[in-house]
Amino acid sequence: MASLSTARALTAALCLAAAGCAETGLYTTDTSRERAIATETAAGLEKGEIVQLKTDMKVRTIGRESFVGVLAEGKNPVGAVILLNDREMGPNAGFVGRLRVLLVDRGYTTFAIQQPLLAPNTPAKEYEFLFEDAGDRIGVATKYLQSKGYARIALVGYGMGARMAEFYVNNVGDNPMFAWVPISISNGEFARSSGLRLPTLDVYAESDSGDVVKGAPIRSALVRTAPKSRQVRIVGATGSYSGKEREVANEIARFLDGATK
Amino acid sequence: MLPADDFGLVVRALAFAAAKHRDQRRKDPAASPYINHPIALASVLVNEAGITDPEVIAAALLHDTIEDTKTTPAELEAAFGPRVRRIVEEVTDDKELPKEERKRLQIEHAHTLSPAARLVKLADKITNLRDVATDPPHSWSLDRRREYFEWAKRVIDGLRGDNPTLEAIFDRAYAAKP
Repeated sequence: MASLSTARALTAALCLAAAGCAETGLYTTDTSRERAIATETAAGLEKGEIVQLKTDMKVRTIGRESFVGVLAEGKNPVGAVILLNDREMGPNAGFVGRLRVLLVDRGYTTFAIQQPLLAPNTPAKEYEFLFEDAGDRIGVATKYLQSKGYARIALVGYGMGARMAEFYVNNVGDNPMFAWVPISISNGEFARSSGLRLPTLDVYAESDSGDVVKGAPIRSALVRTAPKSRQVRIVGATGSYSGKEREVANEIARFLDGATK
Repeated sequence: MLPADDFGLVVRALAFAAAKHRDQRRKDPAASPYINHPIALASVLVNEAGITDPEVIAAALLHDTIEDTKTTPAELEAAFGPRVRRIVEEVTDDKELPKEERKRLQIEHAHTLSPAARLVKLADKITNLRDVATDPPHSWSLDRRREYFEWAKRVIDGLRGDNPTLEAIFDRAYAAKP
């Protein structure tokens, strides 16, 4: 039987040999796909507007400093939410695309931003090299919302987006978020965190991926140490939350309504 | 360490598939080399699901050779053995049938697939959903993309129960449904 690490090395080598991986490099965001996703996002947008932003950290993000977000402002919003989708997904795609609209209906302005992405089917582990770039984008998106007058800003991430959000809240000490919501987060740093400083709503699906479900008790214990925080398991849901989007939106809105830093 | 024979099998399968698909391109806007697709399946199986069975990885690399090239089952058996041939045959559509019939049969036959063929089928649908979500063919309308997601889910719902890790990866890919 093949050893896992050797098999991974072999597949990584095969992947590098393929044109799709080699042309973009392993640890730089795939700018051509970002552009394609941005075009597609704009064409399919039913609610909200496209906002083009630039990161401040030009050294690390050289050649890929521009990114798009989808802003949807609520009527008399009680706060704003920055949304981060799973890896390889655009800001308006799938579950998060539906969630951003549902949260507007529940009184929150939403700003779903494109996170850096790698070549198709790049293993999740390799996304960790992009977390600092992702954090830069969250910071820029936050400043943009502040410039529009929003003081109450929360961070909601799904899958890899949750990992990127976690990196941001764990590493940016003076971040202005009043709360954050990781959805279907795999263990990552969360399980090793010495404590959560922000009000946290940990959301996962009953039939979520194995590492998300396995890590739930550890996350639950950590969440209990944070103020006004809790864990929610969405009964009957798979990791796609298909058909459960409203339930998730209701849980998030209820949590945000009661959360203060 | 990976035994040399296992390494050899996987690399031979990659070389065989690359040669067979050498003139083909994917339908994405960039018209990617077709071989990227079988490699993506292998990557999902190994890097995301931890599958290390070399014959399953080889079958994933070869999964479209009978259906989309002039490769014969006997050719696969001669080169890679009877198990790899069986797995590839299990995930091969009969292209003499109309497309809608082939799609219906994939749903109907999903529960009959062997455990190894289920792994390949799951990886195939995962990579296809990801491609349709982020790099769809230019000619595909929103409705067609949605229909593809729904059809793929019906296929996978028919074979659930053997590999929760891959099934959960599929669910996450399904979350990108337009």
